[in-house]
Amino acid sequence: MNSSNGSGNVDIDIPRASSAGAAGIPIDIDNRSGETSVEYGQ
Amino acid sequence: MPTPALHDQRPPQPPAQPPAQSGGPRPAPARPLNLSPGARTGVRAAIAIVAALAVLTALTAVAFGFAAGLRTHQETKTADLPADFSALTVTGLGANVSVRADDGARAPVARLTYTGSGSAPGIDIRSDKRGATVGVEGERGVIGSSSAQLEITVPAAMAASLPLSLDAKSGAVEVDGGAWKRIAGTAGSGVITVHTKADALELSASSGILNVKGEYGTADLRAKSGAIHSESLWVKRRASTQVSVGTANLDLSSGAPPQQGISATTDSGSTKLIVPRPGKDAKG
Repeated sequence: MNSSNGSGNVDIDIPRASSAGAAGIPIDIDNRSGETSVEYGQ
Repeated sequence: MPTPALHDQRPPQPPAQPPAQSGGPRPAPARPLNLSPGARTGVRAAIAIVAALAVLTALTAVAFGFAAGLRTHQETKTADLPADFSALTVTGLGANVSVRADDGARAPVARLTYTGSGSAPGIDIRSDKRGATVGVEGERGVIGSSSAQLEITVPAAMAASLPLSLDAKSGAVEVDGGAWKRIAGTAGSGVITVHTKADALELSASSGILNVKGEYGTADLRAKSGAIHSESLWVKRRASTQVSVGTANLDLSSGAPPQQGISATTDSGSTKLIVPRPGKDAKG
């Protein structure tokens, strides 16, 4: 996972080891002054 | 030599009283207005005229509303689209537009249902080498208490190879069912709702709303001050979202993760990504 944050807030609620996924799925987050969150679904 | 007092023996002081009112002159008691009998009659007449005008205005408004209600009617128009075209563009100016890929349809057709007091607008169908464009006639669309519902039906086999372009403007456009080759659209201040399948989905909204469900090869969703809502969304290759001051809620948990990844760009808005748990390799 690539995550860049300016003056905002990023909340990643998944284990970093698996955040790229077992299959290596990349997640790119570019948060400037807003709010970004990542979590697992059901 | 004076000894310092351990306790203050002075009696407690009463709380400070607000300053007394200044002794200015008291206002004189109101006295009844003395009018001559003629003036009194004039005032009564003026009050009666104003009251009569108010009642008359209210009755006129009720009468006009009742008459308008009597003139309201529903009208339906149907128009055939060209038998063959390479792309379909749908505009939703001032109308609710639904686009459907139907297994049972034999030819593309548009059907307008109008409800209002005036005459129904026509179905605007234009065709050139770039494809067919369908909407409701008129520069301002259907406004006021009137409403128009435009339903566009395309044979499912034809839709599967068609690029579909949506321009909601201030109206609402919905794509439901079937599968399309590619869907692109701008919501403006309106609403775009898609619940279908396509190889590529590319939607943007200024202050409008994007509602997304279904299965797509790629999904690129953007909003300035608008909102992106998604549920039961399965993106197979790449999902991306971008918001300025708007909000994005991207629920990708119903299927396998996009193979090429997910990207989310947020300026001062908010983005919520819901991703599949590891090991999820099929939709369900």
